[in-house]
This record gives sequence, C-alpha cells and structure tokens, in this order.
Amino acid sequence: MRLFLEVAGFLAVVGAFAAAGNLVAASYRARTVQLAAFRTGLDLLETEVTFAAAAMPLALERVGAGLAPPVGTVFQRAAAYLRSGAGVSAGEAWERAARDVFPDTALEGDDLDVLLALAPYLGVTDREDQRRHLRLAAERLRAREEAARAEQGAAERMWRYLGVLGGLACGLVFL
Amino acid sequence: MSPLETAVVRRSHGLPGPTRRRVSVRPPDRSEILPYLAPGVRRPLERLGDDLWARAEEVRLRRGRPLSLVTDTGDVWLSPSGLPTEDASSAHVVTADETMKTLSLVCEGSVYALEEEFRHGFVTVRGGHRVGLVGRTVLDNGRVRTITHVGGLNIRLSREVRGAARPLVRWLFDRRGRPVSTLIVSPPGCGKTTILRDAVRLLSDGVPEFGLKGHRVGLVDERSEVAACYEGVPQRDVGLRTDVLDACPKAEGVFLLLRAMSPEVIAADEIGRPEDAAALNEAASTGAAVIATAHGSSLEEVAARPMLRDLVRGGLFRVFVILSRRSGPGTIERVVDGPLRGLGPPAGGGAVVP
Repeated sequence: MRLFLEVAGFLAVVGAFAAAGNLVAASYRARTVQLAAFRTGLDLLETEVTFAAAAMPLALERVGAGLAPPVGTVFQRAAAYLRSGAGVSAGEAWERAARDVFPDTALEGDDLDVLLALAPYLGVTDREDQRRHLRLAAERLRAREEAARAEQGAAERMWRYLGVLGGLACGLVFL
Repeated sequence: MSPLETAVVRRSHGLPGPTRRRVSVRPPDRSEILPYLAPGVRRPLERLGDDLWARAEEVRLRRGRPLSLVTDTGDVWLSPSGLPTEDASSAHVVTADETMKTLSLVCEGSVYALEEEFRHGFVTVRGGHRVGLVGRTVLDNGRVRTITHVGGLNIRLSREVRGAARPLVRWLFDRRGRPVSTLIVSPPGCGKTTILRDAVRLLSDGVPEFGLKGHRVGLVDERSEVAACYEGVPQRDVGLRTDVLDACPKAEGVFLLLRAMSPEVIAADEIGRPEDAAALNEAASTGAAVIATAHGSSLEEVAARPMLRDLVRGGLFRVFVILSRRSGPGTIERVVDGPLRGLGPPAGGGAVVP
C-alpha cells in the first residue's frame, strides 16, 4: 500500500511539473499565434479602410468579429469605445482597448508597443497614409512573429523537458 | 427696391401671403453637438447658459486662440466655465490636441472615409450640422486634394424650423395646386437652407387645410445639409414623398433622380456651377418643377453671375424669394413673382410682394 502511495505521489509530482512546463511552452506558442492574428487583423483593417472606406467603428467591429479572443476583443473593444460618445478618438480607443486586453494575451511589452505606436495615426489621415501606417505596423508585427517563432521551437522543447525532468528530480527527492 | 423688381402681377388664390417677419428659430439640441467636441472644449459649452445657446449660430475652434461662439448679435469668447467674455485673455484657448481630437470625433475616427468632404472643406455630421475646416491644403493637379494640419473648425448649427416656408405657400403652388419653380436667393447665414427644407416638406406633404396635395420630390442633397441624412436616413423632416440623394453632386443627382424616381419636383441647395444649370433645365424640360437656392444678396447680383445668368433669365424659375437677416435669419425680404426673361436693363417684369 505504501509503495502504491509513493508511486502515485511520484507520478503526481512528475505530472504536475510536466503540466507546468507545457503551460509555459504553450504561452510561447500562443504569443506566435496571437502576433499572427494581430497581423491578419491589421491586414483586414487596411482592406476595410482603403477599399471599403468603412467608418472606423464599423471597420474595427467587422475585423474583430472575424478573429478569436483575445485578439478579436481588442478590435471590438476599440469599436465600442469609439461608439461610446465619450469623446474618445480612434487612436485613444485603440490604445485603451490594447492596454485593457493585454493582460489576457501572451504578448510581451515590446509587442504591445508596436500596437500602441499605431494609435496616433489611426483614422486621422487619408487612405494612402492609413495604408502606410497599417502596413508598417503589420510588418513590425511580422518581424516580431518570426523572432517569436524561432524562439518558440527551442523554448517549447526546453520547457517541456524542464517540466518532466524537474518533476522526476522532485519526485525522486520525495521518495 | 431694385429696378428689376417692379410689380406686374400679384398672385392671390386664397392662400397666405408673406409678411416681413422674423422666423422663430428653435436652437439645435446641445446633445447633438457635444459628442463631437474634445472634452476641453465641450466643458465650456456644457456650462453655457440656455439663452446664449439659443442664439448661437456657430461654434468656432481656432488652434491656439480663444474658443468663440457666433451669435445673432456677434462673436463672443467663451471662458472655461462657459461664461461669455469680451476679454480674450480670460477665454478658453483651444489647444492643438483639442483641435485634432475634435477633428477625429467629427470624422468618427475615419478621415480617410471623408476625402471628398475634405476636398470641399467641410464635413456634415449627424443632425445636419456643417463643420468647416481650414488648415494646409494639399493640391493635386492644381485642385485641393485634402486638408492637413487642420488649424480651425467652424461648426455651423443646423436648425429645423417647421413652418419657415409657410408664408411662401401661395407662391410654391399655382392656382391648380401644382408646384411652381422657385429660386431662393440669400447671402450666407440668412436661412436659405432652412427655408428650402421647409418648402420641400410643404411640397411633399401638401397643405391639406388649403386643399393642396403633396407631390413626389427628388432632393439632391449634395452637402447633406437639407435632409441631414445619417447612414441614408433623413434626420430632418423633408416630407413623406421626398426621395433624398445624399452627398451626390447636383448635376449627376438630378439626372439620376429623373431616371429613377420620376419626381414632380426637383430640389437642390446652392446651385451655381455650369453643369447645375444644364441639369436643372433638363429637369424642367421633363415637366418637373425646380426649387433651388443660390448665394446672393439681390436678384441683380445673381443675374449678373455668369453661371446663374441663364437660369435666372431663361424663364426656368417663376418665383424668386429674396432672404436677408434684417429681422433675424430667415427674413423674407421680397418675393418676385413671374419669369424674368427681360432681366437686366431695361427691367423686365415680376411681381414684388409685399
């Protein structure tokens, strides 16, 4: 019975550590996925702005509806701020929404800075200029996404192994 | 009285005639304007007394200069607490940030969607209020492409005055109750758009108490000021039988309405381009009556303008209404009844009322 409990405890410790390692590894994967989703969102926003000339609240809503949370939430919350009638400009709405949702994302502070850098220009210039700024932001996100992807491979493996090995080490100590 | 405006015929078929009167103007709802203003500018206007707001015609924001209100008695500066002041140094100074933010709010964060409006120098917001813009112009082949570095905004407050055109009923309809082609002439700020809107409503709905039936009206609202459409829906009462073509160039709009909506009356604000004349003449040739407005302080002045001369002298219009703000905006100064084919020396005919 005692042996059974020891083995069970050992497995539980290894499992918990492996799950924690997987969780950290997943956050690396989530960051890459979310950066790609933001880039897609900005591409769609460019289409809405330059081809459809849709009003910004409508454009943000449409883009947000097509993206999974938390990325879609940023676009939809920005639209809601704009429609609130509280005297919020498009840039302020975008900045507030990005800051609100940031804690729920896997993004890093520098990723957020790329999104915030768009705020002063959002909606306040003509189509050609909007296209330039949206493309610039999308390109900067692409660069960060590629760096994140390169980092992701090694980091994912490391955290998975670290989880399992850490669990084994701890388990053996407890035995 | 102008030598052109000599009485020949006085029309009277039991309908009310005009009197020189001050039109009762209802101020626009403040809540229509405030959401478009940056908070720093919004505050003084929120605190502004109702009596002063009732007299307000324009709100002017000039970057780095005092916030001002244009009223029927002149300009006043506004202090941060919303009190009128003659001392500019105690007025609220509009910052660059407030100007940009107000611009963003006016455009609903979508300057790119309003390129045509920027080219014309103004944006019409919900409620039909017109926001004029000044700044640095960007030219494309010698034509204004857009305005950047916006340094000032002028919010012209739109007013709906039901009954403003009622004194004109006897001229808007002939003895058989058919619409009569009418040109409303006035200098800026004298209420010609307000009169046109109400005239369109009367022509569209008819005036049942005088047995006048309504007619199908096609309104080309190039500046979105008459019907004040928001997302295609008129915000002002322009009548039950009025079809509105919003933000469409007048000449193109007239042809489009003639083809698509078979109007009995074509209405347009601020005519003055050569293509307008051709389109309105085409409308008249189909049997539709035309009601339009033009800038000018007198018929002679309008008739002297190359673009309008042919329209005024060519017999398209049967009635000319001259407005002023002598007794406030919308003062019907004079009505000239009859074609002015002989306009210009020597003077032609036309009934002058009163």
